[in-house]
Amino acid sequence: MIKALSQTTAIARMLAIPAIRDPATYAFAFLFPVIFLFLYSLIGGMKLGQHVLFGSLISLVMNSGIISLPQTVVSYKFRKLQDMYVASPVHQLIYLFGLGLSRLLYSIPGVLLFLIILLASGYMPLSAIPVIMIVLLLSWAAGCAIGFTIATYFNNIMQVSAAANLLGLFMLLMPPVLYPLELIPEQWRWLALVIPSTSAAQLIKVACGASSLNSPAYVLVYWTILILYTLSGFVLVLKKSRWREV
Amino acid sequence: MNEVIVARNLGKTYKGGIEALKGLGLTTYRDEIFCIVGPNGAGKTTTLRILGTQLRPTAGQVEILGLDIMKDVNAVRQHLGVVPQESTPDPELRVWEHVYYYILARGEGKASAKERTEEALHLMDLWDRKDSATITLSGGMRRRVLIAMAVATRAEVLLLDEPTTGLDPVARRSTWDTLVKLKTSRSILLSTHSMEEAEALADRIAIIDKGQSIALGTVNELKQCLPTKEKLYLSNNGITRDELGRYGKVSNYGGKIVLYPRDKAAIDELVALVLSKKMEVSVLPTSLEDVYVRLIEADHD
Repeated sequence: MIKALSQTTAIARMLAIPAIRDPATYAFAFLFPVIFLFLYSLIGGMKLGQHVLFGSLISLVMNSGIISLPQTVVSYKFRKLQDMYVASPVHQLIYLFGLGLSRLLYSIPGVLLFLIILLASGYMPLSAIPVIMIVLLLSWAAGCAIGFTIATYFNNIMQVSAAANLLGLFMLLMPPVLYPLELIPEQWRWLALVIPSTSAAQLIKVACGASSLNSPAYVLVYWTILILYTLSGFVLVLKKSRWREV
Repeated sequence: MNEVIVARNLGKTYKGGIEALKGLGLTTYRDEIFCIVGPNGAGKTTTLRILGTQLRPTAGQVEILGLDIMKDVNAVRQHLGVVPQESTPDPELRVWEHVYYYILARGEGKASAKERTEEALHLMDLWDRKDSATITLSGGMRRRVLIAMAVATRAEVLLLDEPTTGLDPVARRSTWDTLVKLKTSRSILLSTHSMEEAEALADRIAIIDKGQSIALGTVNELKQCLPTKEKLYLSNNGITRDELGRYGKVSNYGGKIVLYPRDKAAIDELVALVLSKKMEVSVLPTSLEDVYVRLIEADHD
């Protein structure tokens, strides 16, 4: 376990080097939610704006898995560097977590900024932080697993970028992550809940008292969906990702 | 002799029906450099990728150090160091970082990773450039970074797919020297298009074509495939190809004709004939390239 952890951090440290050398790259990571914060606040005031803040936490950590990670996977595949890792005692889960951690580094400043804003503005009680951390961890892991599996099917960076952006749109922009689930007509809410980012955002909003859909039954559904997606993501990595090619 | 890689009836059919390997067999030994040569599309890279556990075979069996590459894949990978064909380093990382983090990622401790990185960079003559970003290096140096990564693993089996492609002659020879030093207690399997490289390095060579091994042996053993140890270069006029065909196998070589005589007597007869016609003729010893060309042409015929 300690060896696996040290292997994971080695990969993460190596892939994080470009970000450490060029801190300007961090700015791009939270530019995207800031734009939405501005737009939504303009339309609906801070009542809607707070949902952007909650949703941005999910958006930032999931982005690192489903958009940024696949591009790194394909870049390393293209350079045949991934082949060197496949033909070594590096398990695909170690590689995946190493990559995921390195990509998460880009999101951490944004997450911290939004957490500080939420705490300072009183939208988030301190007691909600443990729940938020668990939700963010599961969201990040699910995003990494999905992003990694998809990326192993691509060899072209343009194609994977297009696919990752489409997935980002489908998982982070369309569902009620940056806006309230309550805005969706009741008969269509189940469809939104099928997407794990909705459940993750709802768990944060419920923990902060920002959602009316907060009955224990709802909360159970949110947790179940998020955990099921995360576990399925790892089954997908182990069973369906093209680590050793066929 | 200790067997290191044993491949039997190796087959690979890609989706779409392309049959890259058809029952290939090979065995490599400890303290040996084994070269695979063959034309483009012969199955060299497919073979190396299967042995390197990057690609699943569709038929056959491979054991590396007695471990099955399908059943014991995690154990096999502990013993492998690979350099894939046309691989390139990450342009945003420095030379040292490539090797050091690769060794750390394989599960070595920091002290061991540091020591191995230093050793590999010295061996590959990259120590002076250890802090350079790989984007600033020449193509040959970038290739050496990848070889250094494989060397630093201290793996018992090194699989190198065209490792010296893009290196200048001096760097290539220096890499050959390193590989020869490294073969002690290891088995090195490399693919190459360069017959000069195979001749300089290989203890044994497999010539493969259309997914099958068509010849296997030491350089001297392979040269026995030709009827004589000499070949003749002739200027392209004076004697027709049909007439030359009586003396042996005729082949084109740039603007000249190269003739592989059918026997020793044919050389004497032909030399007398061309001299009587005041043509130029050179008699040269045959090389591995001659063997290769003859075998591949024969296979394609």
